[in-house]
Amino acid sequence: MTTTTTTTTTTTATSSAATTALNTTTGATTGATTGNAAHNATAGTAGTTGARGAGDVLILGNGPDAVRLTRALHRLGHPGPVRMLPEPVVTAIDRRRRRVRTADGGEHPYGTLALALGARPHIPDVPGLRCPEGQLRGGVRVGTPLAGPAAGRRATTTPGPVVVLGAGPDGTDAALALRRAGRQVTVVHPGAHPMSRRLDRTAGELLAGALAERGIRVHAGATAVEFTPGKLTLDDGRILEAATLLLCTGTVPHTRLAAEAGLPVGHGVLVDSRLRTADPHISALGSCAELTTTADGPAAPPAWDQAEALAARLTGADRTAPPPVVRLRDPALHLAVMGSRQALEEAPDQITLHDPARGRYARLALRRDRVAAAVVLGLPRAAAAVTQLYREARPVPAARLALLLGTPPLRPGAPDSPATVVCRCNHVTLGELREAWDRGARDVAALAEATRATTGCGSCTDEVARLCSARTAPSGGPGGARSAGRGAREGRAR
Amino acid sequence: MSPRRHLLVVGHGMTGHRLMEEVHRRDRDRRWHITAVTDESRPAYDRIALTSALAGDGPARLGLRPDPCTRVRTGVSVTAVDPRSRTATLDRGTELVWDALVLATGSRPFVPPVPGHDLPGCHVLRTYDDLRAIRAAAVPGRPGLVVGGGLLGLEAAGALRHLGMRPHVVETAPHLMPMQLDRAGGGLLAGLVGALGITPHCGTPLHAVHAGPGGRVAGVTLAGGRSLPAELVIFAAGIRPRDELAAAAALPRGERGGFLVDDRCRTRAPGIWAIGECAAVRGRTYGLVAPGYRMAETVARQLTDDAEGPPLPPLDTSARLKLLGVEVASFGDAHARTPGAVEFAHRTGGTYRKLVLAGDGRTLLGGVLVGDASAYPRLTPLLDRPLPANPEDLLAPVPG
Ligand SMILES: Cc1cc2nc3c(=O)[nH]c(=O)nc-3n(C[C@H](O)[C@H](O)[C@H](O)COP(=O)(O)OP(=O)(O)OC[C@H]3O[C@@H](n4cnc5c(N)ncnc54)[C@H](O)[C@@H]3O)c2cc1C
Ligand SMILES: Cc1cc2nc3c(=O)[nH]c(=O)nc-3n(C[C@H](O)[C@H](O)[C@H](O)COP(=O)(O)OP(=O)(O)OC[C@H]3O[C@@H](n4cnc5c(N)ncnc54)[C@H](O)[C@@H]3O)c2cc1C
Repeated sequence: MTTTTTTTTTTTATSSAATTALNTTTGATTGATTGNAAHNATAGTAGTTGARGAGDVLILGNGPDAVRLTRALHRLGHPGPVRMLPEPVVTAIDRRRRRVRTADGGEHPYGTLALALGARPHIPDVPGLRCPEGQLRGGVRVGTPLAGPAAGRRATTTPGPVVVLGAGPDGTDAALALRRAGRQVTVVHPGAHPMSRRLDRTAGELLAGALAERGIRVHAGATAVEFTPGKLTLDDGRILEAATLLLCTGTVPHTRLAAEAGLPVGHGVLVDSRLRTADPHISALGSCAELTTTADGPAAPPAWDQAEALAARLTGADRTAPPPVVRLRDPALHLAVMGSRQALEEAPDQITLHDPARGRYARLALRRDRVAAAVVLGLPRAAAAVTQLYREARPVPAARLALLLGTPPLRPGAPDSPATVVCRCNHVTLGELREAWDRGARDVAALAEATRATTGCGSCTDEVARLCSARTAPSGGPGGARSAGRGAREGRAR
Repeated sequence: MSPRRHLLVVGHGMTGHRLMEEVHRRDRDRRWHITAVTDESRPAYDRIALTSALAGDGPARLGLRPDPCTRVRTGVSVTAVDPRSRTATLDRGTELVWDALVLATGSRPFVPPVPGHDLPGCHVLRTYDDLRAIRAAAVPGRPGLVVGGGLLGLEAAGALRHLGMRPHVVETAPHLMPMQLDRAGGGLLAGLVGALGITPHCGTPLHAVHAGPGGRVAGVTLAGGRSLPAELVIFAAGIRPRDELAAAAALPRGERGGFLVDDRCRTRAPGIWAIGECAAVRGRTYGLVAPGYRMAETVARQLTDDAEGPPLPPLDTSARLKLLGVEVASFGDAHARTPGAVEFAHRTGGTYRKLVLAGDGRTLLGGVLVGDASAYPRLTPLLDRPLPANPEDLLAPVPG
């Protein structure tokens, strides 16, 4: 079959591979008016066996997500054919007949359809960003990784102050990179603090402090109302100097084809943790997909994890895509975010470590001892450990402070010192209680009479009672091994 | 042998009582003749137990050990002291001469000066007489109101609930027990007391108290304009040191009131000490009994050893809510104000436990426990020392 031959896109370098794949695939599709397909239409009912087995993979899109999936399928020795179709030539997905139609009238049957449609940068509706012809005005740049590394480089080479619009992960990263390059940087963000969609208030305020410490000015709770060359006006009336305005205002997933085919679409094409859409024959991955499990906008960067997971599933393994972890790329500002803000707030078990003096913070939102969401700031070892627990859905060990501080857990059960104060109101120590015991005070009332312990607010009564039973008992107990031994001897003597 | 000297103690409350006990115990040669004067109708009693007595079986078991060989004059107040002539004037006009004077006057409840604060049906909870008045005024099934969501306010609300009333608590701060708890702990506490039928209203100061047709309290309005029915109001809006004697005696006061004393409880005037809630130790007052006892012990040592003696040990401000059923405890540096302090917390649906640690991540500085305070006695002895075990082991609930 002609179409199968086109799939031998043994990809090498990423971008050139994308082009190769694009060329070979489109080249093949022109000639692919297929008798087979027509046959399928009559013989196969959707969802059951047709000539196209599930192993016959058609990928829509030719961006990095599509290339990653192709490479992963080849590497895992996927047995069936793999084809790529660039999004612009596709006009419709016919789910019932399991084929994709192209602008030239071609029809491409599939066993499995993988949507790797990508996303485009979101350009906010701020007056002055565009020329009358529609393209972005001089000085306005797109800072999301979608725009490619060149855009970021251009922003760092144009002289003068930079305003970064939007302090999500991309905007924060861009601001930090620009600052490291010695530029004057101001961040404008509508939320109460940077990364407000992901971070709770404590973490957000610490992050804002860390940015300020590096000389980045942060205007939180502010939106841009107008751009004129060199100047950005905010809604609170402030005017910022902006030789460059870097837009980090999010992305818009390409969902049109999926929506027109009747697939559920939120911000992106909705998929479950196995990257399945509502249609069992259609999966989606990368920046066009939205994991319903994270409930927090499009799935974040590590799209190669998704490619890897989807490829594994299509080659027979039952793999779920590891949930995405957002990290800053700055070498000295360690921030890792897992799960959605909602999961962070709603998980029943919340562990926090807050060290404002050192700018360190960790919050683990646990569900049945597993990480449902987490924020880890300024604790690189904890970030690595927690990320692994999260991605592998393993239970968090019991020594959680040690985990977060990256220190070895302590051995439990150190002996109590005689100097420990048991009754705070009357300042009675463990040693004094033991002495009183030795002098014959053998219950709470007698110990109270002898030492005044328990006669203040009374909250140490249980502790004193436990001490009594430990000293009467043959061994062990809170009195410590040595004292329990003595207690036991006295017990026998009585 | 030197002639007997006269020690006068103004106020026979919890710390005055402790001072006399300590002096008596240490004074083997009986050099001190001791007199205490209190304006209350009875000698010292266990003030801490007032809330449980209010809720439970009445004031039967409130008494403290009576002092042998000391004279307590009840129902008498000291109106002036003169450091130069070493005399004290009583409200009956008589004078007492002293060689040493210890001020242990405690504090008085602060009643915010809102309209209607002195209507019949408005109470404070500080003394045995207050307790009797509240017990007599409580009406089962009717709404009551406590002004102040601190330690005392919540205990008072718990007592009202035991007396069958439906208590509401009004608190100015955004969460309950703002002195002791952080936001997370206070938020959880609100849910827990709410489940007991005590309704907290936080972030809204009391605006006014209103009378009903009979002239008694019938309701209140809050600053936001909201109104609540209330047939009994207890003010527990904080305390103020009773330092009125300072002015005429020219004794300096702390910035927030209280007799200003050094770290040995000495006022500026030789032979005059102050202890307990009325003392501003280096400017700071303490509203709990443990620091007051440390002060009493320090002064007793100075009086019996005729030496300066060691200064006060670090004062413990651990507090534990005794309100039945809801466990709340806070100890040490609960708000993590020590520079470099680290907070480690675990919150679940019904519990909140926080440890405050030094920057080394090991030395315990303080903590907050809400919903389950069973670890409190285990934790407080560890204050200012390196943790002997993993915090999660120490925080784990103690069974039984
Ligand atoms: C209901 C309640 C519950 C409490 N629970 C706790 C608790 O759980 N834990 C805790 O640590 N603390 C608790 N406290 C606080 C504790 O009771 C006080 O810290 C302690 O009583 C202070 O002792 P004091 O001697 O300084 O003052 P007080 O005990 O108030 O004694 C002062 C005495 O001096 C008298 N006096 C004042 N001026 C004069 C004068 N001019 N002439 C004559 N007499 C005078 C007063 O009438 C009073 O009798 C509670 C308090 C209350 C009211
Ligand atoms: C760690 C610690 C530190 C302490 N520090 C101090 C201190 O610095 N100074 C001090 O005096 N005592 C201090 N104390 C003592 C203690 O907080 C109380 O003063 C004492 O126990 C009496 O309890 P309370 O509930 O009356 O007072 P508080 O704990 O002061 O509670 C009174 C509450 O009433 C609220 N309130 C006041 N006015 C209104 C109003 N009009 N409407 C509604 N609510 C109102 C206040 O916001 C407050 O929460 C401290 C105790 C601890 C444990």
